[in-house]
Amino acid sequence: MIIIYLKQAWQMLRENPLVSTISVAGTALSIAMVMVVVLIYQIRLANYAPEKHRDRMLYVYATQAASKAGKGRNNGYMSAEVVKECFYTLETPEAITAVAQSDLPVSVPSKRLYKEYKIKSVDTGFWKVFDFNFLQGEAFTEADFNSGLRKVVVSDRLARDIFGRTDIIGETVVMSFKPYTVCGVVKEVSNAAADAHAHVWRPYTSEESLLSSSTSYGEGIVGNFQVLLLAERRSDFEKIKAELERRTEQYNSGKSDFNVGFLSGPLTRFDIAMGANGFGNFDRKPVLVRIGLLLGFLLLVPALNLTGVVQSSVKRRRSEIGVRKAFGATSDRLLNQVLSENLLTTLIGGVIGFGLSYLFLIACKSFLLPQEPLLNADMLFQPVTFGLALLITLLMNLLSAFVPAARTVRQQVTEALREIEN
Amino acid sequence: MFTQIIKTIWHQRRANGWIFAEILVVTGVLWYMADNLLVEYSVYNQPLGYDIENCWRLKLANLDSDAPNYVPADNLSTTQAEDLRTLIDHLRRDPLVDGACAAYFSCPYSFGNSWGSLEPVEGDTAVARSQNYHVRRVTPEYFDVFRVKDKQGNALYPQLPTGEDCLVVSRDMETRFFGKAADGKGKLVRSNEEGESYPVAAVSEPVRFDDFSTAAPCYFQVVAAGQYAGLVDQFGADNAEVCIRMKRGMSQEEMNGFLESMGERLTVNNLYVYGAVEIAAQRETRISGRINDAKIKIALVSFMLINVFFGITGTFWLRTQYRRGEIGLRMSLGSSRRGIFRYMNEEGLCLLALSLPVLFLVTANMIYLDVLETVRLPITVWRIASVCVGTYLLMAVMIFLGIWMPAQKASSLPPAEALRYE
Repeated sequence: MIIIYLKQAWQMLRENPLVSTISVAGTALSIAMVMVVVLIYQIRLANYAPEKHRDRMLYVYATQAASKAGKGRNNGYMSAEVVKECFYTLETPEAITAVAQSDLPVSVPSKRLYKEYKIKSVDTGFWKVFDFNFLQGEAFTEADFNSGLRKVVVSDRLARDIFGRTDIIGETVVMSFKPYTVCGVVKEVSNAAADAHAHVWRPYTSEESLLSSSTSYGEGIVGNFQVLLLAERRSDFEKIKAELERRTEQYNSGKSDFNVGFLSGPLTRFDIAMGANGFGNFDRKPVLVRIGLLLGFLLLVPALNLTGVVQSSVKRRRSEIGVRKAFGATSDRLLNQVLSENLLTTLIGGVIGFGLSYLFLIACKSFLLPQEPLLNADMLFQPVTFGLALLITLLMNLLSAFVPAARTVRQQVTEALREIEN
Repeated sequence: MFTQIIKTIWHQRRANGWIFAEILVVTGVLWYMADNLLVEYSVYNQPLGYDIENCWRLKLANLDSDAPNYVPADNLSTTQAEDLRTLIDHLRRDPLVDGACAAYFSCPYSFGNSWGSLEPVEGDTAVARSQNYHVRRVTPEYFDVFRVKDKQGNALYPQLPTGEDCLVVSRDMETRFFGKAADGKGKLVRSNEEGESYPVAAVSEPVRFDDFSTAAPCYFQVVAAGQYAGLVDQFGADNAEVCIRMKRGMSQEEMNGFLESMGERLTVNNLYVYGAVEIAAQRETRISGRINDAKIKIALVSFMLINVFFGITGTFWLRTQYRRGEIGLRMSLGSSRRGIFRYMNEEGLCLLALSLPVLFLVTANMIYLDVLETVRLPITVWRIASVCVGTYLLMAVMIFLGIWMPAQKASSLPPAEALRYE
């Protein structure tokens, strides 16, 4: 049956090319805009290399050192001591990593250079939490880390920038006048994966200033680190939070003047995708409402157009529908017919719109995505993307054709048949 | 004529309803966005009070104690302030450099800022007492590097006393302290933190924080003597913002090359330059959020307008098909082709005009509920009127464009054929 409807719909599309083009273009534009919004959030939320397990991760971005006497507090990051006492002691997570970030120029021994790169000072847990693609060599080992060896993993882009080639294992790079030996080269990471992204990864034990607190304030709590936790499964989140709370209490009981706290606590990837940064209270509700309103608006305006068009095409065929009704077609059937006929328009529009959305995203990435990230197929094409596109197309169909269809079906047979006589 | 159109629209309310709903929604949203963009645009175009062209901020650091050339404190014969001054002198003497200065949390578009309170020694102290003003702590050359002008529009730098600590206030600060007519230059003001009084050395143009803030009273603490050394000691030479103006525009690569060519001149004892960032790049980071917001709004506005175009074309096209009889009748009764054209356009504009009362209600409500921004741009008749005119002009253009094709077709029908449909 649906084949017949679609055939009929195709005939109707050809009958009035201008109106059909407008309907398809309107649908395509709307679906493209909606899909751009979907893609923006997908890039923030989906799992892709090297952040392959985002859905199982917890993020501790912010740290507070608060005076026990209620005299002031400092919001910032945590010291290596807090990392060691409160996080490395956790038993539930599958992997734990502490990360300190900075921008530094990377030089070679023969020449001082000034081009800055993103540097991440990390531990060995980092390589378990994230899934890097090593082109050459390997990550620094636990033993390297423990003895604070100056070894670095660099991106292939940095290797090419500085050495003009990527096989640079054993070469020396210089940061802050100190020499580091390259032990691994990885494929460049998109900055959309901001937690993993850098051009140089070094053991944080190699940088003396990171090991002690960065300020005299806060009894050794304040430092440069953020912590990322990888749970074995999502259901462990609550258990990890509870365990962290116990460790924090233990740690604080050993402090005389200050308490450590983690402000909004460990965040899930979803919170971060919605804009949480760990500082201050985050309420996802207004964000969700705003996204909902935007999507609704993007669908509603073209739907109003299409409704007008569907309405008049149904009106022209009142007599046909009257005859079908007179011969016993049920309301459901007729409703189905109008909806499936319109489906052809929305489907064509949907396919075009889906393609357009990628064009729009790439053309407008300078203002749609922060820091113009490198885009790759992994983050853009997820199975769920196609599902959502189809869902949105069906929704669009329902929005634009339901009212006229329902109205026609409710029409009296006699009234519809009268049209034939006229 | 008008009543006739209204009647026609009323009779066709079924078909017109959807397109009217769309016009209503789009006009409302368009109005709000146009108002929003107008505010941003008018604020953006006010003079900034400084000029950042070809200006760069240099990043400083101190050598770590484990770095090869580290000079232990015992072997140092100079203070941090002296080292910083030497470093700036090295830069200033280079033929490519136009000017160099140091500032603390005061470089344009940096994320730091300081606040202090100030009051006139004579005159109305009540105005100033409990208020904090944005203070920029800078060396005198700052006014040369960033081309700050006095209130008459002349260069401010030559008016400063050499080698003395002094204060410069902005014109709006002068007005607040001494009244509109008075000349603040030479008058004594007292800094409440130190309790010291200084004569106002010069009055600058109003200075804005960034492109999207309006000017607010502020002042400059010009440090050249004792205060300079105190400031460097307090915050550390490596936290100073060393800003330079180059004689010509340079790319980041050229600038890195320039720094490389400076060689050892960029290291003074333990203080060294490790990188440079163009102030224009800092500006972009700082205001990109607002710019992107505006671009997204413009994209949404275009989306809505295209939809109105589609909607109008579709509706009127389908309508001309039913109304061929009416059009034929009009023609045979002497209506010219151009008359038909005009009639259809009038009908479209009438639809638009019908949205006016609703929009008026919505606007009144938005003003009443304080939804519109009033801080940076007060609500004036001029603002409301220009937004209304702009919105309706855009909508009218889209409606004209949308009607063009259907009207073309309608008016090109031969009357005899058209009449056959009657």
